[in-house]
Amino acid sequence: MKYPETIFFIGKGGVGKSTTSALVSMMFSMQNKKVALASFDYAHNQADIFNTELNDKPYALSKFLKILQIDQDKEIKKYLKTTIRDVKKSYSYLTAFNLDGYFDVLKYSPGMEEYALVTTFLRLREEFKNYDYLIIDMPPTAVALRFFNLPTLSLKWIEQLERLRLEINKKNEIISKIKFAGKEIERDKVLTKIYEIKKTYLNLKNIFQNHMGDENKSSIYIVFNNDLLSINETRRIVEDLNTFNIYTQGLICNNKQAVEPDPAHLKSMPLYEQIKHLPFSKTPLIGERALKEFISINNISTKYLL
Amino acid sequence: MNNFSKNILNFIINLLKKIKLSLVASFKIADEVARMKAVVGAEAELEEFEYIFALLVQGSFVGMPSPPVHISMDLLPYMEKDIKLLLDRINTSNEPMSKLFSTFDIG
Repeated sequence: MKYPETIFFIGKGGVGKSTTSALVSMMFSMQNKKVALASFDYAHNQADIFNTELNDKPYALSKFLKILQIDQDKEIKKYLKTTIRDVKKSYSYLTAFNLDGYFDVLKYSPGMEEYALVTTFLRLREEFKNYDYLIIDMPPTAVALRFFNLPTLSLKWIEQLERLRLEINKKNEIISKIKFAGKEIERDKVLTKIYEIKKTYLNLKNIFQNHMGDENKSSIYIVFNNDLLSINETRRIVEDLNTFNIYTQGLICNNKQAVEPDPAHLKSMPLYEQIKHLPFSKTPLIGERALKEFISINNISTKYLL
Repeated sequence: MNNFSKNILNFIINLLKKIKLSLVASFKIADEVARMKAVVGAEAELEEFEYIFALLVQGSFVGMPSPPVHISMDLLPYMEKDIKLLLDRINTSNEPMSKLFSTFDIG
């Protein structure tokens, strides 16, 4: 069973990432492709677009489209709870330091937000294994970039720790050999866990860098508007992603005004040739019907947009 | 051979066995002591490495900056020994010289 193809929509706050991801999900589902649309954005826009209550349990809009709203706080709490359980299971004493109090503060630690999203992403990939597409409506730029950078950054740490741990184990082995005349030492649980973490991040890095081939395809699209701030931010996103060796598949210009943007404006943008346009909508794109109408009136397809 | 000679022979054999056993035991003790002494320095070095590792990963528990929280958290359940080491270090941190002297058996 193969993993779904992942499509991320990122961009500045308010440019229309949620609307674009909702439209693309709708288009795929109209082609009878099985789609899971997950909103990682705190703004809960998908609930407004589809005019329904959403949470982390998939809501089936149709036979082919399921929608979820990820609650980061809940994911962080879930993760901390599992860690506390594991710690309590393996530590013979707990009174020495106040673990519970420490964990309470941890949920506000920097890095927890993107970690929760990464864990959720991996979980969703498993959950929707038999689906054609997993479409992710990402939070605004800052969190999105930290999300994509997390595997690279974590691997830097993990590789250092692995090196140090191997050194420790080598010394430990020498000492045991001399002291206990070659009696075998216990396998190092910490090193085993380090290898496990390393494998997960290497896998994630490969997914983000799209090194996994067709079986595990992933692509990133940046949504923007035809205004200076949005254009400049898009340029920075493309550059920042490039520094982690993650490449943008395409740019989608969501036209929020009836007037078509002047092409000269956009010419300075990276990936200029790959800019696709979402036409202006006179009516708000709220509800399944409005989305379907917009798609058919403007005759837009996934083939054009992606 | 009469009974008397047999008893003497047995006595001598047992005595030799006992001597052999005590020789082996004392050799074992000497070997153990030598092995222990041989690794004192290496063990101190190892402990230092383990301490650095623990501090690097779980330093936030004692007020040191540490790697991304999720890495510390993922490794925490497997680092009981390292956390103990950190706590021991806090207890002995006021007397670094005494720790050094006891490692090299001075005084």
